[in-house]
Amino acid sequence: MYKLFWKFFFTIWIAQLTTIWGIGTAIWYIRHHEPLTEVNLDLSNGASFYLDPVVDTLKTQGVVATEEYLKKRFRRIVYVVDINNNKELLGRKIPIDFLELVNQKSHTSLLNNAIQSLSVDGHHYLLFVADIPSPWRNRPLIPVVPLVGATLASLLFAFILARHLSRPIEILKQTISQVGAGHFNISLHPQLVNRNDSLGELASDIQNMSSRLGKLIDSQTKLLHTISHELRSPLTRLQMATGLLRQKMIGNDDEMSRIERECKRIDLLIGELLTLSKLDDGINHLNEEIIDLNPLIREISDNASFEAKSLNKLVSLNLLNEFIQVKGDTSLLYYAIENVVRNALRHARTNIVITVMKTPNEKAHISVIDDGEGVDDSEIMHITQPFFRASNTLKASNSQGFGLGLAITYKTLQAHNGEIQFSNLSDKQGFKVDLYLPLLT
Amino acid sequence: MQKVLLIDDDIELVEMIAEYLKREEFDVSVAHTGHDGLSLLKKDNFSIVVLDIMMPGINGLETLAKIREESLIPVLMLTARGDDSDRIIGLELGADDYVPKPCTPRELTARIKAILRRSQNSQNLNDNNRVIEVNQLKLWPGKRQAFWFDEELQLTSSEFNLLEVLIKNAGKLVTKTQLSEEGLGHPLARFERSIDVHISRIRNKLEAINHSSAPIKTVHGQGYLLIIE
Repeated sequence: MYKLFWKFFFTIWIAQLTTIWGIGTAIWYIRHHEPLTEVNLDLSNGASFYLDPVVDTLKTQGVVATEEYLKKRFRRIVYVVDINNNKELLGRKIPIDFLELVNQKSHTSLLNNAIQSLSVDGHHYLLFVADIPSPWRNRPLIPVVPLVGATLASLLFAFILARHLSRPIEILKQTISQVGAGHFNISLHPQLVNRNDSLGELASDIQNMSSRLGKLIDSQTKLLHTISHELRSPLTRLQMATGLLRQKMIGNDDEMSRIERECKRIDLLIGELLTLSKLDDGINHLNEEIIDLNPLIREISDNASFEAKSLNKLVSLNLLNEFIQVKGDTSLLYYAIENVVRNALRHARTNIVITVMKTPNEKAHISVIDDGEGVDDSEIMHITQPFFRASNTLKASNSQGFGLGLAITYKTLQAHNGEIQFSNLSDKQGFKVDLYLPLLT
Repeated sequence: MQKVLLIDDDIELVEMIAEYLKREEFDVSVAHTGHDGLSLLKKDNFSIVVLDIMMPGINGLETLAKIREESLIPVLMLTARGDDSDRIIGLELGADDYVPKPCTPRELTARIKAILRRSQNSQNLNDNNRVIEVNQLKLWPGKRQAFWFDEELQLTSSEFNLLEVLIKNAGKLVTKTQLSEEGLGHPLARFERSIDVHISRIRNKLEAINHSSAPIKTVHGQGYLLIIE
């Protein structure tokens, strides 16, 4: 999650370092590769003040003493050059151009002794006063202290800037994943929303968007709920009317039975829609109870076994021989698991296997396997959508569902912090549904 | 003929129910608001009230509470299917049973008949003076009277029936299924809580008379048991 921060940080830091080093090098380069000119040479009368003691020393005490003397006193400004080989007495480097300049000037500056020439032991020396910058002056080539300082400063600023940019983005990213997970009631820090830049605008846009989304979904859920609810009044009357009609009727009529059956189906559908909208409304509306899974699943399995007999199918149940308790809404979980078992029963050729296990990470694992044809791989991801029917369901003549069962199962599991997974067995040999629910600890 | 009072704000629906019940040999009166229902109830002697819980104005639950202030007449609630909370509150207020809406008239009639049969059946028996006695609890099924520490218990029809089932099986575990079938006259629906609510009301009434705990024990997840001391 700090990836973005480090990206910003290194980009900014490297940019700063490059700039500092680049400009530093450029300044250094310009300063030290400027050709030396007359300006660097002291041609004033004052020059002899420095030169005279050196000349005296050279005359009277020789080269070695002069070296010592120079080192002690005039290392910086007084230069003594052997004209024959252009070597300076202390070994300091002097550009040839500059030496020629000094040579020329030496003829005109004899008057004020600003440049003096002297012969000792067959060597001709030229003595002058000049300001020759490093590298001629043997200064350290890399300025360590300024560079370290600049690097540290750039680290600090890169950190501050990277944080300034990446922090709001991290917050927005988290917020958006919250919105994605269905929590529309987000509140961003006012400091972020009131930021006077694009990030601030983005933050306030996201906040508006999510509250609007929340309202839309809320009103949609309410509408679904209201419609389902309101449909019940006319349905009640319809059922009453058919009942009345049947009471008055003599004998039995197929059409009448069909009307009654369809009424029941509508009632069932409305019930499922209401369950779905209750689940959409959130976990707060669930009854929380402690549930023993074993008896619950045994009951589902027994009911399924009973139905399976008439279809010449077989339901087998493998329970774990220990308490498996979860927390949740009993009727919803019953319905959720029953849906899966009923689907399996509908699609199985002959066998349905229900197994209850515990996973190492403290979850109850209920697997329901049938030996039917399975679901097209391309359709597996859609089967939890409301009203979706897999293509092979349409073929089944005894199809009873509305395509809401698995949607309810999925949302129920979600509301209980559980998980559901679907998979085909190889070679169209069956279909497997895995349900996971957190165990009560 | 048994007199039935229908209280429901859905005028068309009530008309149809009334017609259906008349054909089933009931004497039906109709009210569309809680107020009308209550005043009709004062004027006449009814055997049972069928009450819609989801009414505007003074709603079904308030009407139920007002009815229970005055009498122990059997009350059958019409509740929205899937709405547990209204149903539980209704039962806690002393309704005898409920039918979820939408329902077929046949289901409704069957429920009415079950309640009526059970609120009156023993009266037709010869053994009017037969008494069942366990500890301090006495029941006259023929008179539909119950006494606890010699004080009469004011029980609704369903409560009496359930207590009767328990006392007949005193000392034995009675499952909720058995209680529902024998006491309420219909099979136990899945996740049904009405038995628990009824039993808790019976307990409260027993405890109101004698503070020592009521002799009905809960066997978790299975049923109830009347203790013989």
